Amino acid sequence: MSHRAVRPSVLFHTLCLLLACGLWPQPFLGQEPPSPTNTTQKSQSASEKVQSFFRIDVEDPIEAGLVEQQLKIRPVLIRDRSLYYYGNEETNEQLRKYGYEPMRMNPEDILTRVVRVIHKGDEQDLSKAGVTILLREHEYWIVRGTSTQLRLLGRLGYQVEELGRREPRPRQVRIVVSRREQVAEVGAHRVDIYSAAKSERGYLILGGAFDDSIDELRAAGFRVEILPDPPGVKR
Amino acid sequence: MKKLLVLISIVLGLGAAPTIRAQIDFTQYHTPTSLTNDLTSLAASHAAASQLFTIGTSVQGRQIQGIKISTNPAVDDPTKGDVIFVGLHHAREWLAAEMPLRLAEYLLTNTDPKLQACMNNLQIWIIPVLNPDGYAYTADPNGYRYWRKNRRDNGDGTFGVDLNRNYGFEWGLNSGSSPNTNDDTYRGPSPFSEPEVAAFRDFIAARHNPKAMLTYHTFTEQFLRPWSYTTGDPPGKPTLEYIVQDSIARIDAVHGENYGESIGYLSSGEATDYFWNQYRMAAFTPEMRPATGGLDGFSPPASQIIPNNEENLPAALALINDAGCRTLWIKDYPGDTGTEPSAVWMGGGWSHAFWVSPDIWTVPITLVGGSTVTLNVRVHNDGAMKKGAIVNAYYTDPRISLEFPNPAAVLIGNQTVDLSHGDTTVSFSWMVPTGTNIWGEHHWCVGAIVMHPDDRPLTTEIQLSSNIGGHNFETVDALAGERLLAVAITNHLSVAAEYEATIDRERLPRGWEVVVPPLPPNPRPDRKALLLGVKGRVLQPGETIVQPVHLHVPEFAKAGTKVVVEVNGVLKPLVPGKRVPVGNGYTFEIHVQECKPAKSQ
Repeated sequence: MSHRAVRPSVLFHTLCLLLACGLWPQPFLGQEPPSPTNTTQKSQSASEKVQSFFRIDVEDPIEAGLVEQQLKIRPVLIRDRSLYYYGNEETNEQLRKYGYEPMRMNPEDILTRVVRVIHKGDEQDLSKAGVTILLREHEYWIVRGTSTQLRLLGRLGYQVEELGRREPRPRQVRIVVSRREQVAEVGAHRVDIYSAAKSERGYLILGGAFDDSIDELRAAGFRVEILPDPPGVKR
Repeated sequence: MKKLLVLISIVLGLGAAPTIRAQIDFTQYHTPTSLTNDLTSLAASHAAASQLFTIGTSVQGRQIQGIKISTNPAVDDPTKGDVIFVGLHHAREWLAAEMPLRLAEYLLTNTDPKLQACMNNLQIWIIPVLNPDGYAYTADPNGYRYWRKNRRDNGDGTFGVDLNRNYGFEWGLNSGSSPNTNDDTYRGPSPFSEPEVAAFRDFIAARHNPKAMLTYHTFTEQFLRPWSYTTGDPPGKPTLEYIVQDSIARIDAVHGENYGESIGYLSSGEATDYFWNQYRMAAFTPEMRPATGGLDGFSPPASQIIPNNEENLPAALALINDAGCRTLWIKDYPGDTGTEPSAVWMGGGWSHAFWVSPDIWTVPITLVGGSTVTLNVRVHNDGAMKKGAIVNAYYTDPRISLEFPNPAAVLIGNQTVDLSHGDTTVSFSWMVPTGTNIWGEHHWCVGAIVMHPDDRPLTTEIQLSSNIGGHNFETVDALAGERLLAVAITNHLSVAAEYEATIDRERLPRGWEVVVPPLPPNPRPDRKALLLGVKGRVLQPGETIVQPVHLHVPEFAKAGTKVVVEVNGVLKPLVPGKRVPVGNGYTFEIHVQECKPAKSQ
């Protein structure tokens, strides 16, 4: 009896704590289909809750566009030759008529979230969960991971927080390359290139990049110098 | 003396900053509110020549507004050409909103009769801010001045899609965009996922005669042409390159800046690539001031606004001149008057056969492999003397779906000539290739292009530009009875396309018959064709097929009779949205011979 009386209160306090931390557990479940108009990966409408997550192969984005236009199936994500969508048997039957073979997928393994992880232990332990570190800050990391990976972090004792209004900002970087073709190589590592000017030492690239891009660049042999943040950036 | 003064003023004026003072205050950056107010005031104070319009709403529900400038702005006039200027795909690039606003003001206040004459033939659509949500965020003290993307809630803790990586041509390449939502070059979950980009696509798709589009960006001082997604050459590179170099000269002449033509990195899913590929409409990206810098390059001092506007104005005005005032032209068919377009697809054929230019001919007419002939190109000039005009001539195997220049075309020659008012014939010495064309015949298709800084072609499609002419004329000797002709079709587009051929039977004399049999279906059905419900033959990019054409010459046809058979062809790309048909055709001149055929039993 006493046990029963206490339980709602504990739940209430837990809920309040989660809300106060800006951490609502639902996003980590990641099962629900998205609203087609508002977000791409998270929210959902009541009517879509019965839908599941599927993948079909498409030749290219043009074909994906035709699927959307002709069959009214809105892609949640197009990656390589895969088109992911929320649908049901009716949707899939329609697709099969055109030769597609819908495959049910677990969105928790496909869709990712970007969250803040408070420092604990070594960065390599964090990486074992399979998440990508986007930013290394003094007291926390900004990481990208699937719901499955983020849940694993929670089980490993990491404190995982939603970003809320504190959006991640790229770092300003300076990279000098010797050949002009290397400017495009730098861009291919997801650097937002502000300018690439010819200098005495080669081509001076100024741009913006997250730490995962910087890691890639350094691994590829580029020397990356991180510049101070511009005014208005709070980390 | 007066003439000399005029000449001096023209020379000095070439590329100089237009002298009309701005009434809108460009000494400080606009805010989103003041920009909207100034745009509204501008339209209200020039109500006879302008009107506000909205192309759609942003992801957060803000209106994407523009100003239309035309002699009758309330009416969408299909007889006029459409020129579009758009700013601020990227929120932090504030100069890219100031420039189109200044352009609108300049166009509505200038008294230059030459510019007015060109504008009378056009509908000019200016959208200063395509990304109003991002713009608002950069101006919000609680936002971020250096925000680039729109303000889409990506649903994963991040915000924003890079609008200039969200267009549907070559979308999704990691070499020129990012799949990661947090990155500043995030391309979005799918092509045209963003309402701002979809609205702009649909807006241009609804235009009757889109001729040119400039999309303003900052910075690094470049004037960029397609392609952006690759370092490879686009179709029509010589034409695009000519416009780039000419535009740079105009910009640099104003304040001595030193614009370039390449940013050195790739961008996929980008606006100019999409519109050049989709419509073959001139599409360029001016990357404006400053020349170098880091993140601060996106917020140059306000003192840069006016000189930036001044130097970029001449390049915009040149585009308006090209689109609205044609002076140099080559006939596409005998009755052509230089109207653009010279022909339109009517659903079952072209309104005119535009591949039979009487202004392009060879002496002798018969092309024998290895022989040298004279290729003549007659250029009409309705304006004043054009010094230093360039005339290029090309040849290629005859094919439906030709554009000039095209990657398969071979340059016969290029000449720099002075074109006085009236007609000038430019002659080339052409050694006809040894061997034969794809048909085993001594016949090629010839195209000619005339370009001058005062009149530049804005496309590579023959019928869309009076600067381009094509001649595809084949003489066939025939006897009474059956004759098999053949037409080649190559899909030169970057996407699969449906092919359609039709015959203009109404021009055939009584008793003559021409039949275009349906081609065998595709060996393997194309899923894009299935989705679109296309039943005709689909050609993959680069694929060439042969269309047989059965000709029946009646027994009573007299020897020496000449009959023209026109085959119209078109390729309809298998793409979402507007499927713009491209193509042209063949004209066969049938000469009936003396001999009577043996009667079949």
